[in-house]
Amino acid sequence: MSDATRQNDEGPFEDGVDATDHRMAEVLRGSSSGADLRKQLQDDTTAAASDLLARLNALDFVQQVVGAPTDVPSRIGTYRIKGVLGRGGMGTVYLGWQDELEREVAVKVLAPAFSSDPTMRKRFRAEARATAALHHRHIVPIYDYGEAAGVLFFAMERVDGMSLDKHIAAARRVDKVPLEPLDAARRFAGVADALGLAHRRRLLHRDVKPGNILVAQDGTLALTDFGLAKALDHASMRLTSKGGGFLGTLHYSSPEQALGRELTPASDLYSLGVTIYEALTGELPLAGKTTEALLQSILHGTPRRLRDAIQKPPRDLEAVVDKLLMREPGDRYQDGEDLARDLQRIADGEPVHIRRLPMHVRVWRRMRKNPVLSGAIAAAVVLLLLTMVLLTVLRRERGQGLVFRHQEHLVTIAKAIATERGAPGGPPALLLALTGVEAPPMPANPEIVQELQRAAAEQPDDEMAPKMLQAFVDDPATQATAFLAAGRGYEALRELDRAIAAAESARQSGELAIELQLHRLYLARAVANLTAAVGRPNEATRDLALASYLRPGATFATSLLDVLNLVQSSDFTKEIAGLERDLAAAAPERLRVLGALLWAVAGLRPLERANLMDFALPFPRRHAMHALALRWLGEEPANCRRSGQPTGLSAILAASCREALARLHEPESVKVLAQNTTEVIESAVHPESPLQGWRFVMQMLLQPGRTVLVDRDQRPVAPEMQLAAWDDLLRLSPPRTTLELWLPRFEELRLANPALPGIARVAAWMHVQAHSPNAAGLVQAWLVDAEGDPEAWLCRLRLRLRSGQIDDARDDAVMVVQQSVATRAAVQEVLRCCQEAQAEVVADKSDEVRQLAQRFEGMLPVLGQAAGGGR
Amino acid sequence: MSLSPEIAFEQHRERLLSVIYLRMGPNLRVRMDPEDVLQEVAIEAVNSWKTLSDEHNAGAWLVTLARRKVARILRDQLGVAARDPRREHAIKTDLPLADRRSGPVTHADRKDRLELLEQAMERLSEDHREVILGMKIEGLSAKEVGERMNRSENAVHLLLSRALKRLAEELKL
Repeated sequence: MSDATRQNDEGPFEDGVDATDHRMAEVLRGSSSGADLRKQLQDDTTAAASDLLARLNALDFVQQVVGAPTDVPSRIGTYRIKGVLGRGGMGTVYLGWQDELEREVAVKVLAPAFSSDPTMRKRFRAEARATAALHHRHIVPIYDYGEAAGVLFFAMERVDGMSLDKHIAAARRVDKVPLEPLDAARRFAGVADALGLAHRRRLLHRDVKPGNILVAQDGTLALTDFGLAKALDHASMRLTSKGGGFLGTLHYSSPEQALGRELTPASDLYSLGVTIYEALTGELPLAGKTTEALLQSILHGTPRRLRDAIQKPPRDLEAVVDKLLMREPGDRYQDGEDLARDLQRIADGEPVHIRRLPMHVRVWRRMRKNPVLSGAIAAAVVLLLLTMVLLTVLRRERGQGLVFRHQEHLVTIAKAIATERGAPGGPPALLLALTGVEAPPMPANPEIVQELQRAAAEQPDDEMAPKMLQAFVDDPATQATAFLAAGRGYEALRELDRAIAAAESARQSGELAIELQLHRLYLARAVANLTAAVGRPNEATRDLALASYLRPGATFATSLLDVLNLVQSSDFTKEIAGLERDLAAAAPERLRVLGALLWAVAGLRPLERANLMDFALPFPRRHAMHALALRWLGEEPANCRRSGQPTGLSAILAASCREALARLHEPESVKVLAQNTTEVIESAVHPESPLQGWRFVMQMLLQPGRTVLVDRDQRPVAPEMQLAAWDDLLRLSPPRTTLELWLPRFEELRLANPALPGIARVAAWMHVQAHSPNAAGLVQAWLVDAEGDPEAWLCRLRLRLRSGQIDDARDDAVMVVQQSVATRAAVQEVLRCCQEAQAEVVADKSDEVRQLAQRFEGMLPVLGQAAGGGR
Repeated sequence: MSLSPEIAFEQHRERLLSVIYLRMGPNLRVRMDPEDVLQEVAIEAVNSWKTLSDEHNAGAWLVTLARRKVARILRDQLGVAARDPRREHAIKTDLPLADRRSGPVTHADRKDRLELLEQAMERLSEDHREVILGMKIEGLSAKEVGERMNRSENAVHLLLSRALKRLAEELKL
């Protein structure tokens, strides 16, 4: 640093230190508040104000990186907050102080996403009440629960120590086992006993895992978060879709839980088994790198024996763990108390008598693997067993040789189906439902069809072959598929749930025909869950894992799973590299399908009829996905909508809202339109889908003065959904005058929820379109948040053109083009923007705008040639 | 003492990682993963926990541990007492800021922001960088930073005010 500048920083009275420096220094000293200053600056358009705002933004940025200390409230309910004990997916745990009892407590505050849903609040209260009634030395007692400032919290005993997962991680780092076997047996006996008590009171924990077990200073283990999983189940699906937290809990979930079935006390004990195993070895008994692999491993794998992970574990302890990890709930411990007794005996060095299953039962179990889900290859074995029965019936009437041949024939066909490489596009209706891309029909493999026909003909008495043929050729749920093709995922979902339940109950017999059906049903349900009308990606992942397990060769299910993994992966670059390796020898059609799906997921310029949900990904990742899709597709797909334009079902809803907007002066027709739109939403949109936003847009159009938006049960709407509604409203490009009227109501939402994800973007556009004086500051704030999203530059371009800052606008225009994957389209956006601005600027600036437009227009012919290559 | 080193460490994890990341600089990061350095700081914190006089100072104490650790590594690895940005050139590294508690999105987000901050800080003057690092990242008081930089408290706040202006420019805020 030169001496001259040093002088400037030296003290307050040197030259060059201006009022702005002092004003900001006040904030930094803590004598005035940054938030207040920000509010004052809102309406200030001077250079000094934007300088101050920029400094405040820089400060926020630094604090975000470090983790803002302002996150910690000073008080929650009646508790004074002294610090943070930990943060998790469900919320934050604070160290609190209870004045009247003069004791430290742990205060768990649920994340706002959980607190906003009324159903969840009710369930939370019910569960908290039930848990508060559980008194056990190995359950962390709940003292109190309630709501403060709109968030749910509960206060529990402050356990001085750490959670078991941290203890395990710490041990793993230094290459030690977390707990010695006898020690573990003694400590977990208490936890097992605690579960026993809860189960006797008909309470399930549902989320037993090391993260929910606290280790006190003296090593005592205590269970926490009882029943919370049930209370939060509903929202956790939505929430984890962004954090990809699905895997975290799947590791400890029992097979029945992984399949989303009814849980029993034995399910909690299974999870405890996995926890004990990890505490003994530092590893998990069943592993899988992807969701699919892990799910397969839980459903069909054999847990690693304790003796393979640690040296010479006590035989009895190994038997106990084996019994806990049995796939069939009926084969496990049924009662926490029995488990506690056995563990205590092991700790005391006394023998334990564990009843093992008879040999022939174990062999049978291993052979048919999992009765709830036998894979197609396993099905071939089952089929063999079933045809044995058939054999005795047929033997009486026909020659044995013929029957044997028929049976072998069927097994060969089953194997062929199991290993068949399915068509890359899968059922075309499903691709259409997500991306709007029409694919040619895909007939079932003619060779297999022929074989099945031949098999059906050779033994007319046997029903199996015709059933297999039917399942192989027919769509098991034509009605649902029709819904899906129209993008009406919610209606399809209801049909598919029913069909799957029916098929699952018929499946006990293990027929291959039903397995084939189920593959299609799971795949279709995954697609339904991914449509904008539903939007539950975690459900989709599970269904896809099941579908691709049933038919490993069916490429559509695996492709879709690949794309979802890409969306949720933490290491995007690595994931892409892995995928590209897999795809090196893939057929061009497969690449096209993957490209279309990825293009739709990236959503920068959605396809005309795409119905895929919005994954709310940060811009850099969407950009990278877009580029990758472009590479796979070879060229930009036809019929792309301008970004931000609704597609699919959303477009239909937008159209009727747009019509209502145009007819605001005819209240009667708006009323009719509103009614029709609400009916469509009722029947075709999942209650949690963001498409519900259109319902509220209609409410706003219907009653412009209305202040509270309500859902169909007349309950006020969560801020996220309100934001979705405002976002939708903007897409209708309402006239400036209308927006001006609405702006104060939007401001209420924004000021009450400044940190709502995505609010920066909507706020910037709202203010720019309404010609608000705050527009500049808000666009600036969005640019910080946008991580290079060209839309943010476009927004500033719009603003700068209007205010006649043509030189600065040029820089923004360049950024828009540079940051976009599809350059040509970006140039067209810039031109459109210039066109709109022409009407607004004063005459002498109009020429400058025209010149700017001409310069960009000049790029188009050159780009025209390049765009065809696409690479 | 009721606060355990593990909890104190968890509470300040983000801050410590930022300190380590920014103090290490791109050259050293190529050779060593900041996450590993963070682990070493954690171990040191557990071992020397008893030397902490008042648990309210745990944050500052941990930051000091982290700074000393990086300084020691710098000396051993690069043979320099402190980092000299002119001799280094930014090499982009893929830093695994693995954090079991946050999902991939926040993880990627934080990593990107830290990387952005680092690149912007690289282009600031030594004094500006020091004052931001000291006050806003290491969380020292104006008095402490003033002592370190040989300035009055008042001057430190003004310096920080101007440093933020430059940072905003670099970050294009």
